[in-house]
This record gives sequence, C-alpha cells and structure tokens, in this order.
Amino acid sequence: MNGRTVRDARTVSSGFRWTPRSSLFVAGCMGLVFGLASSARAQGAGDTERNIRVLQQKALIRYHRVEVMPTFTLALNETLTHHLGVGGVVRFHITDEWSAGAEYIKYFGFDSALANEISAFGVAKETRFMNHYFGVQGAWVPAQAKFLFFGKGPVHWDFHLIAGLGATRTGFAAHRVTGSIGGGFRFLLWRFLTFDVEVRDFLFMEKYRAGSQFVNNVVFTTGIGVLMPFTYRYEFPK
Amino acid sequence: MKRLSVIVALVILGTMDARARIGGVSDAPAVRHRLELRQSRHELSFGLGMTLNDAYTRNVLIRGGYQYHFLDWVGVGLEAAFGAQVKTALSSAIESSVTNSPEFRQEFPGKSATIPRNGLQALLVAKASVVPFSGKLVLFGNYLGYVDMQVTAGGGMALIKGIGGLSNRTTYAIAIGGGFRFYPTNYLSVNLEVLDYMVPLVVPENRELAPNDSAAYVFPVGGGGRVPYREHLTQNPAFLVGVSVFLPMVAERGY
Repeated sequence: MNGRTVRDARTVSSGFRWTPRSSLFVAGCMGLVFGLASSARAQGAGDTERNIRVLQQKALIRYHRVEVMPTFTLALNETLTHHLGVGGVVRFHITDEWSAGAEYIKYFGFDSALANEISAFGVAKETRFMNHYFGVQGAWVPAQAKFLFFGKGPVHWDFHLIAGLGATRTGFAAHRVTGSIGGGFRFLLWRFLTFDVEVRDFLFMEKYRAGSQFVNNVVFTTGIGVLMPFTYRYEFPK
Repeated sequence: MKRLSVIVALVILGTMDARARIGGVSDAPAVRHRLELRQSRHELSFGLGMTLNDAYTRNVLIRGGYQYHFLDWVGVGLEAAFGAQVKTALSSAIESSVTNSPEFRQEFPGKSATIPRNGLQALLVAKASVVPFSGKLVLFGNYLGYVDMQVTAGGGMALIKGIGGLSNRTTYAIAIGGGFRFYPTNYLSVNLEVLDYMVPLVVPENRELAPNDSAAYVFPVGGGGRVPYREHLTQNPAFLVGVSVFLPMVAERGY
C-alpha cells in the first residue's frame, strides 16, 4: 500500500499538481488575457468609431411624390368677424425642395362679440364675410431637422415657405384677386403620413361702402398630408 | 481554495462582460453624448413684444425672466413684463365717428370723443415650461445649431392701466403659450414665443342702461348716449422676441 502510495504520488508530481498557488496563477493569467482582449476590443471599437462615417438616410422623402392634404383653417387676425375653413391642398414635389400645387378653402364666417360690442357706441359697422378661396401655390423647403420627443425619437420635420395666387369670393360680390405668402412645418408621422401646420397671409383689395381697403387675412392651417406613392427605395444601402 | 479561484475568475469575467455590454447599442440613448442645454441650468431671458389682434388698445411689452430647468424637458421660473399702450385703428375709427356725430358736436362743441379703454401696464407671472421637442437645425444643407420647442403655462398678477375714465386696477393673470428657442451657441438662445396673457379687462357692453348699473362702470362717450361697461376675461396673445443666457455657460454632455 505504501509503495503504491509513493508511486501514485510520484505519478502525480511528475505531471501537474493543483495547489492554491497554482489556482491564483491561473486566475491571474485568465484575468490578464481577458483584460488585454477587452482593452484591444475597446480600442478597436474606438478606432472604428473614428474611422467610419455613418451617413444617415433621409427619412422625409418628398422627391417626385404627390402630397394630398385635407385642411382645417382658422383666421387669426380678425376683430369684427370670425372665419373657419375647410379645404384641401394637392402638391407635386418636383424636387425634394420645390413643389407646386393647387388648393381650395371653403370659409364659414360669423360676427364676433366685438362687432356687437361696438354697436354700443352708435357706430355703423360693415362686415364682409369670405365665401371661398381657390388658387395655385409654390412651396420651397429651406430647412429640415429632426427633434427628439421627450428624449425619444427622432421626429423628422421640415420648414417650408409658400407663395400663392388665386381668388377670394367675399359675400355676394365678385372674386377678388388674392396673393398669399406664408410658411409652415411638416412633421413626418410615418413613411407616407405627415402632420402640417402653416401660417399664411392672404392679401386682397376689398371694396366697402366707405371705400376700398387692403385686407390681410392671416390664417392658421393644419392638416394631415398623405404622400404618394406610399413607399420609396433608397439609391444606396444604409 | 479551488472554489475560491473559480469564483475570482468568474468575477473577473463577469466584470469584463458588463463593460462590454455598456458599450453596446441596445441600451444606448437616441443621441449619444448629447449636449444638455437645459438640464440643471439657469436661464435669464430678456425680450420685446406686442399684443396681437387687440380691440381697443395694443400693448407693447418689455419682458424679463428667470427660469431653472430641473430636467432637460421641464423648468419653472418667474417673469415680469411692462407695457406701453397704443390706441388701435378701431378705437380711432370709433372716436372719429362719435366726434363727427351731430349729437356729440351739439353736446360737446369743439371737443373730441375718447372712448374708455384699458391695457396691460405690468405683469408678474410664475410659470412652468415643458420642452417636448428638441433637436438640430439644418438650413440650406448647413448645420446651424440646436433648437427646441417649449410650451409654457403660468399664473400671477397684472396691473391694468385705465384710459379715458377707467381707473387703474390690480387683478389676476393667466399665461399660456409656446415658442421656439434657437441656440447659436451653447449658452445663448434666440427666442420666438407666442404667449396669451389672459386678464379681466373692462369692456363696453351693447345693452340699455339698467337702474342698478354701477356708476363706476357707466361712461359717457358722447353721441347722446352712455355706455355700460363690464369686467370680462380677455385674451391678449402677445408675440415676443428675446434672448436667453444659460448658466453655467458650459453645457455638459450626456451619456
């Protein structure tokens, strides 16, 4: 038994004998190896970040798409009348920046409380309600951006300037030649769906009994736009 | 001891794995190393503006304010505004019409009619603002700077200036609005804002005089008539342009 014990002991000592010191040695080596590997991996990632430029694909694509937008309109700068309007805009985006289109607004007007109020002074008021507007317009997108919504996102949007020419029918009178100028924001909700807000000034000359007067009809317009075709393909992969 | 070694090794490996996971993209924020332009910063603002769509009196406003942003998207503060009053075209037209009436000329020969009206002389409002949208702006393909959109609500007090027979009053004020801040630098912003200061103003009422009408709210305007007035909560939307300085001037970057 003793001889066997000695032989076994020799056999073991001639190979590898597991001791506490060797355990620490192995653990240290593993730590060193993994530490170096981790450091190299981090450095590699850093180099990669420095050397690779990521060009993000533009999310809000307008180029060669038709935008159809039902609109709701609220006149902003009225004192003696109030007007609400419903209508629609159809735009064709010739490039990603330029577009041309046509629009129609049906107005619903009524007297304001102020119109009744000033009658207290014994003055005669002459109000003229707008009936509708139709015309053509051109739009240009000088600025586009993306927002985070409470830190999440992003929400892509653009700012566009609009100019138009058309006619406004007021009361039962003839149509008044009307120019318009303004700007708006277009927020991309989905690949083909946008939320638009615009402020525009419709300018025309109105004839009153007391004489002609230049009218600034500043309106706030909002609408949900649908871009067609619904889908698009990028020329280059992401 | 063998067990201890294994535990030590596992701890080392576990630590390394955690470091690797922090560097991953799954838990990363929408924007890495984002400039914290608002969080934990003080905002001192100064601006000019005017009320829009006024019936009788236009108010030209000078405004100063302070705001502390607890978080990137919420801040509280205080603002004070002082106003100068300008007569609107409608007021001028009514006064001209009344002055030129035969009854007024007969009753007040050689005098001009002045209709009673009031305006915002001073406002002191405590407010809170929320910034739902924030991001970068590209103009003509060039990066311009950061921009955010804020929504503001608050309440306070207003000093109302009476003109043409109305007395000065102190009353409450409610402010609701929103606007954009454009940051050309990390410590300065240019602000465009529309804020509706809702205050009770004294306005004319188109009705016959009643025997129990308070004498303080009945004003002769000529034309052989006397016009009763009443207190009415009035909207005074103001368009304001201003600048803000953010302190500390150096903005920190997030993860």
